[in-house]
Amino acid sequence: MSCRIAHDLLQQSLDGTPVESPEWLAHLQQCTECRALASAGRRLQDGLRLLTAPLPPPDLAERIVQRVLLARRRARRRRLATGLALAAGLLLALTLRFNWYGEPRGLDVVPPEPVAKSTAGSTEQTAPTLRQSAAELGEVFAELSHETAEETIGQTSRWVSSVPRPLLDGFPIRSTLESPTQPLREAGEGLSEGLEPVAKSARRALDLFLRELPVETKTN
Amino acid sequence: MNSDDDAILVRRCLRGDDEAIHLLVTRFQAEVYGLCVRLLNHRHDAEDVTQEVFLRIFRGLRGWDSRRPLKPWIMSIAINRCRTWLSQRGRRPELVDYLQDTLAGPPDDDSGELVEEIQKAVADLRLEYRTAFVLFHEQGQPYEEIARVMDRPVGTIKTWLHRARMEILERLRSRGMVPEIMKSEPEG
Repeated sequence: MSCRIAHDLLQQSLDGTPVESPEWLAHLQQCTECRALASAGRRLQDGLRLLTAPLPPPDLAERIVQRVLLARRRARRRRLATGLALAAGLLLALTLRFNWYGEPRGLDVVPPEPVAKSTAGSTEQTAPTLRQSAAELGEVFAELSHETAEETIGQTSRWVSSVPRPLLDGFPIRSTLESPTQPLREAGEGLSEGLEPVAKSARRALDLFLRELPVETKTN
Repeated sequence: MNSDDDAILVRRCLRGDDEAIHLLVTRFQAEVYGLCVRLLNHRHDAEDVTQEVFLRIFRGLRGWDSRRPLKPWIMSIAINRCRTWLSQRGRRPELVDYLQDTLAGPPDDDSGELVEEIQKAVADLRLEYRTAFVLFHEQGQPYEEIARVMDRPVGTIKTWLHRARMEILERLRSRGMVPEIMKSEPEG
């Protein structure tokens, strides 16, 4: 048997497959190098049996879960803020367009159907004013902030109730969460974070409108 | 746990079920942390990386192919994060703290020294060899699964593992951890 085959058999035994080969044993008796390697292999197996896998700290899972939940909440707020910003920008742009021009540009080339006018009668719908749109927007903000606050209170209640009492003894935490100041502050931070893109979009919409305004006034 | 169970667990996580998130973390944290400790040779770094790994797992959970088992996907994320961490750690000397490891049994003769030498030898292996060695010998993964985790053919994994063992065996010999053998001593 060659040393190469002896090495392969050694690897096989280290894989956990028992090797019962008289040729291998005969080779080991003759070859000092392979015998030393086989002996080292046996020592390695002994050592690996004694070696224990490193255990994670007992609180690691809880820390990971808290971080994951926090990241998820932030992501949700970001998505909400983005959606809100888009909706607010669109709403503002439409409001400004309808409110100042009375009707969308482009429609004036197609005269309205006289029949439609007569059927609409007194129930003819008018575009919402800027004030109405702003009020609607305010209601949406209030509703969303309320929702965020409720969610935060719920999450905090769950965490506090899951923490063992001895761990909380050193901390000035109330037994109940009747006063929702902390969650509301968090909700406020989230809301102001969310309002930033709204303000940007509104500014951008207003800029676009103002840029076009002089041209329209001249034609009128 | 089969891949159907994995898929159910993942679906629950994606629906925002806190209990499912907790379950997934608890189920895989020991293996992820164990691998990180061995690859980074540092427990605090391993804790940080383990947390990052799970953040990435939950961020990318929608991208997991539910026809495949979950564990290899998770372990491959852990390996990639360790690789990135090691490259960022750069030339800073490694803070080896593996001496804190405990022995599985009561220490007798030179067992403690033997374990320490093996850990040092593993720590000195190049990353690919070390990863294959730890996954096989410490986490008991078969060649096929290691190949999936490391995204390499089984043959490559075998080669890496064999080389890793040979380096460790040579080190044990050179450090005097292998007793002199009588010519007639049986092996196997």
